[in-house]
Amino acid sequence: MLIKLTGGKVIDPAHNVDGVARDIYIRDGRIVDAPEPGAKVDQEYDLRGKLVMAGAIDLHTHIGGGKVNIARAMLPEDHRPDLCAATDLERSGCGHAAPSTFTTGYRYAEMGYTAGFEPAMMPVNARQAHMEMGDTPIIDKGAYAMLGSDDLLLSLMKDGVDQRVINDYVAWTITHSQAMGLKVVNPGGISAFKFNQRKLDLDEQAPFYGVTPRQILKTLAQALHDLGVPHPLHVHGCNLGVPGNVQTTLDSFAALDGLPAHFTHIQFHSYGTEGDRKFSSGAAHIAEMVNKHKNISVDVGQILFGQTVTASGDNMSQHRNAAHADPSKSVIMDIECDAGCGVVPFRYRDTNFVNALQWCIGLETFLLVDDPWRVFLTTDHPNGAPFTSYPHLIRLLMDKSFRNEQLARINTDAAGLSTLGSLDREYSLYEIAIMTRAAPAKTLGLRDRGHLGVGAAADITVYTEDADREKMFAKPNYVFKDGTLVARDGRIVQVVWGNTHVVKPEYDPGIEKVIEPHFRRFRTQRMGNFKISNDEMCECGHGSKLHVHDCTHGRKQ
Amino acid sequence: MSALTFTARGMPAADIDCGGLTCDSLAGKSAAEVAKLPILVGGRQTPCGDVFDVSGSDTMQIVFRGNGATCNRIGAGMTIGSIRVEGDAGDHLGLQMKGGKITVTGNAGDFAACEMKRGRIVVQGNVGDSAGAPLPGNKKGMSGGMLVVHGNAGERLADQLRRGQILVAGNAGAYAASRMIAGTLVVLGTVGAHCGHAMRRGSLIVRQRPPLPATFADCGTHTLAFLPLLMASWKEAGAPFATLPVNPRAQRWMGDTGNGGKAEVLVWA
Amino acid sequence: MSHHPPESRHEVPCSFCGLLCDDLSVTTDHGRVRIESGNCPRALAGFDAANRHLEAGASPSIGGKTATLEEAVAAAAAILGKAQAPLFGGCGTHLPGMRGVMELADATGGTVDHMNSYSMFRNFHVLQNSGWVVTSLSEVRNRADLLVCFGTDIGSRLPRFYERCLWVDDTLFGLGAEDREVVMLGQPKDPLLATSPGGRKAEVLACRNEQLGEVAQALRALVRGAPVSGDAVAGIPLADLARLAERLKAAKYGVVAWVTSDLDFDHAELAIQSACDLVRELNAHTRCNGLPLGGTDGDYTAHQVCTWQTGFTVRTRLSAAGPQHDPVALDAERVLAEGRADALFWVSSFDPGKTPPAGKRPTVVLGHPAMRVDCDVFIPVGIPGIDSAGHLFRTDSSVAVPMRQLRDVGLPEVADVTAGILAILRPAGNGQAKQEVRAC
Repeated sequence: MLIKLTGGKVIDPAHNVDGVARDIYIRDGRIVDAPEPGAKVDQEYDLRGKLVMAGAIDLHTHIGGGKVNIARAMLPEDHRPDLCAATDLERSGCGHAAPSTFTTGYRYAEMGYTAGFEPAMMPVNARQAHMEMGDTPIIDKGAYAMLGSDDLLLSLMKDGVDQRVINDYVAWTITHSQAMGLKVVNPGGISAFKFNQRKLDLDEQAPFYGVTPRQILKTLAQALHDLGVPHPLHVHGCNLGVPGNVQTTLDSFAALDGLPAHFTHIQFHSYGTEGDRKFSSGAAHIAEMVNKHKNISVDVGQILFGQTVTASGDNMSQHRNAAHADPSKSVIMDIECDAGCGVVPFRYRDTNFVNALQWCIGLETFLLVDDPWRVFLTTDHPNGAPFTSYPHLIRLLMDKSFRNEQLARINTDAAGLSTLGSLDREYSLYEIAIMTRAAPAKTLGLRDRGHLGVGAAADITVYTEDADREKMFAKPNYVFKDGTLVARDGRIVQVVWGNTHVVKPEYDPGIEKVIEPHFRRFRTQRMGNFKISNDEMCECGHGSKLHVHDCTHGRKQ
Repeated sequence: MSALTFTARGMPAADIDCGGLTCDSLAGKSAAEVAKLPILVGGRQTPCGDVFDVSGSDTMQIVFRGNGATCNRIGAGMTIGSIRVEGDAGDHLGLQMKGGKITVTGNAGDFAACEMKRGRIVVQGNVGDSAGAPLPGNKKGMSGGMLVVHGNAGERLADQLRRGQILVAGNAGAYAASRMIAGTLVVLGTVGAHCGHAMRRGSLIVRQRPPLPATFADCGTHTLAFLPLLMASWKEAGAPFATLPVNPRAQRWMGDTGNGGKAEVLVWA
Repeated sequence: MSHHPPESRHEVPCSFCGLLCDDLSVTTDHGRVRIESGNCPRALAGFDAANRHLEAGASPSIGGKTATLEEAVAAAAAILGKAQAPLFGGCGTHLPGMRGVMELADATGGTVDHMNSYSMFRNFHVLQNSGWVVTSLSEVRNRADLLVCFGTDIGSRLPRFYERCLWVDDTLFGLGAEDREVVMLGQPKDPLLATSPGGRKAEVLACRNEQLGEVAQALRALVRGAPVSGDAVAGIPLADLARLAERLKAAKYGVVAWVTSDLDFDHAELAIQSACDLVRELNAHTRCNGLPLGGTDGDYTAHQVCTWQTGFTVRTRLSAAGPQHDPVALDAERVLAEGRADALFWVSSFDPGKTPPAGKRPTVVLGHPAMRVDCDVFIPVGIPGIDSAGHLFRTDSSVAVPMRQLRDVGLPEVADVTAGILAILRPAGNGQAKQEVRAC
């Protein structure tokens, strides 16, 4: 079947196309060349006057895994105001801060998103992450495996093994947890918390193992680079949320020594200690470093006011934050010599000085980082705000007067400490397209997504331009997933099951001689039952496809 | 004007969600229009007229007649008017109500006065478990208004009560005043085991010493000036609360020290 | 029936309790499964029951009369098609089975509850009301220097717990079996189960389990230095409790463990909550964690799947207004007793004894092949981990174990049966006549 999308204004930064009216042809789920003249078009969509982009990609969203499900189970009151009954097309579910899996998929697709990546997948819990994502319809997915506080890595580093052994372990972990990349969360800190340590600075030696977060960062970043994994080390740094942590973050950038790395929800790591309340914005320093150092990319993790829930692998930080839980409940877990998690509901209030300044810091970051290819639009769903708030966030970035109106409503002390009011920049549609499509695809190594060139998967979103950018981005006119129309005017019209994206870096199978005994001696699961097979992945996800991407970007050894 | 009356038509076994049948929601509607409104019966949308004969016209005075214990959420969220239940009411009576009055001639089920904020509920018979307690996931129960129970209360009475008053003429079951946050609970009859478990603040007032955990300390007998004032506020509740002899002397226990609680259990001396 | 020679497999996971031990060696011979290693009574019982039907065979039946699978599926679909208030109970199955149950419940506006909810909700209430600080089995194995058993001996329910999680000498940080202490609070059935290899017995501070809430509150008071009246709490000398409080504060990684099915009294959730609050408060001084243990019949698997698919755990109805969660009103036993279900769809594939509650309503049972039950439609289904692969969640929730198919004796999958029923209820191209209620 040949589908023609006629005359839409294409915005495709991957090919330097900015608002050029052209036709797009789709066959068998892919964008194809224009056919021979006179070829039969089976279905045509008149998109004249409309804007066409590739489907959006969320490279950091907590959509699957134990802690996400703990959040759901803990918060029945979050769900009750936003219940979704089953229809002919859709399963029951619920929305807001901890949405159910089906609702998550529908809402992302309605908003024109065609892929989402779970950033904090514990290898021991990877099955659950894949199962939940498998029950998340329409969108493509993938996940980053977490290492950095697991006892095996720390043991290997303590023993001073060769980088190649680390590389093999990292590659093995990514392969057998069916991941797309690697994340480190509070390097060494999750482990330190299990030893009753309440903080771990960048150059502080972790208890028992004696390695420092700096060493962990460097070692893991090196591993990914050596393995040629497209997406660089995805870093949730030390001291999340702690006033003064901007220095930790800057030092962490430097610790990489030029190796590529992606620093996530950077807003939470950009706090200074100036002023009477000893809490200030470090966004300018962060932006300056990001601008200067091309090996670094960031996603913002913008907070927006309202009720949400914070769910993170960083049990050390979450335990500290639990005192501020709103409502006052929380779950903190130590997990399987692998990692941990913490789930703390939270309400960001515009009258609250700290929250208001956090809001400013995120926006300052967006506006001060020059390169839209290296700053990504996230709210660290749901930690900063639910993903359904992205259209509102886009409006804040594109519409200065709207932004300033909001600024006028927040805690005035916080507004006074922020430079936000003087930042005139407005993101263009082209820059939004980079930040939400072309750039995430590039950093993840998804060669056939995030763009509209021939050969791309036909993940396509069509908007009607509207000066109210929130309205515009909330309800695209059409959303295509692999060439199938799945949403129209913000409502699902067909349900398909998206693909799972993974990488399988090469490793020396001899590493299992190290890993297997570790499982047998110290853990309560055998290595053979820990590894996830490709067949299992198909069972996870309604028979959806597994896409294995190349590891070629870096240098292999 | 006669009260807008819902007369049961051979009650199905299914639970009936009466939450939409309040003076607020039905204002300005005729009985015929009300009969057409969809309500949830056993989780399915059903015209109201299929389960109730609807008659009368005064939407500020609603009557439920001949109901079984399957009518849930009567008075949910109401702010005005009065609802009278001639017979029993189901669960979640007066859920999150903000004003007005509900009277039940029979018994009410579980979670009566759940998260009630203002207004008054009077139950002539008994209430089930968890009267005044919050919904799953919520941590604050009833936060205002008054619940009067002339019969007995089940277990977990006033669990996480946040404010307001609950007056029970009869007995209360186990775990009364558990996790109570504030407010006043009065029980004229006996109180069951584990009374006051994890209580934080607020007052439980009784006539006989209840079984208290070891984490309550006896603070001796006192003359409490606020007691007569409190008792004066019970005049509207009628007998037996309004006719109690005014007594400012009570033995006072404080706890639950396990959670740093400063709640008091007062036993009239 | 397979005609293969006997087959041996290793590192086979066991599905018969929440530990999901995955180190079994098993042989399969003409459909007969046998554990070669170990003597866990629950595993042995489960494997034994799995062989019970092999002689007589197990086949679907309609009204007690043998039927083909296709006929039974059609009869089940007829029952569900007519029902206005179907109840999906038991839910004793694995992840794919539970996905199938949920899909069927969603298509028919059903209520979902697991047979163990009466026990699980003792934990769920705490999770919904205050949360907790908890750990998992491997962490306990490597770090726990003090284990407090709250109202349980653990071993009676999870026979290999001590062997796998405490009496180990080869650990990450040098903690050996004899470096650990066990204290039991309440009414443990058999405290000797916690005797260390070196002969050290668990200390028992005895009280009735019903009093554990008061005891936990007293421990909280002792930890915070607040007064406790009298010189005993629930019969336990205050001095003993004070000593325990000190030991908990001094421990490097204290663990307070409980098994909800052992805390079998009303309002046990309040006792568990007090214990969890105690644990949380101890984290001001040291590291201390709760350890919720238990699990049979796929209970925690049902909880996980229902939660991620609807947002709510079990005791949820997939109504016309969206999922309605009510731990009290949607208790399956109460729904059945009050006549609020007009059809029961019961799944129970681990244990032939876990049959549905008696009662007069059309009943479909997807059951263990050795199950004998009086119902309208019976379909024997594969036993997870024996006939059927598919995942199960371990008691400490963070590990989902891939079970194995050890034999093929022709038993269908729960998910295939539910798919077959759905295909009849919703022929391709026709949606069911559900109201388009888009509440969101």
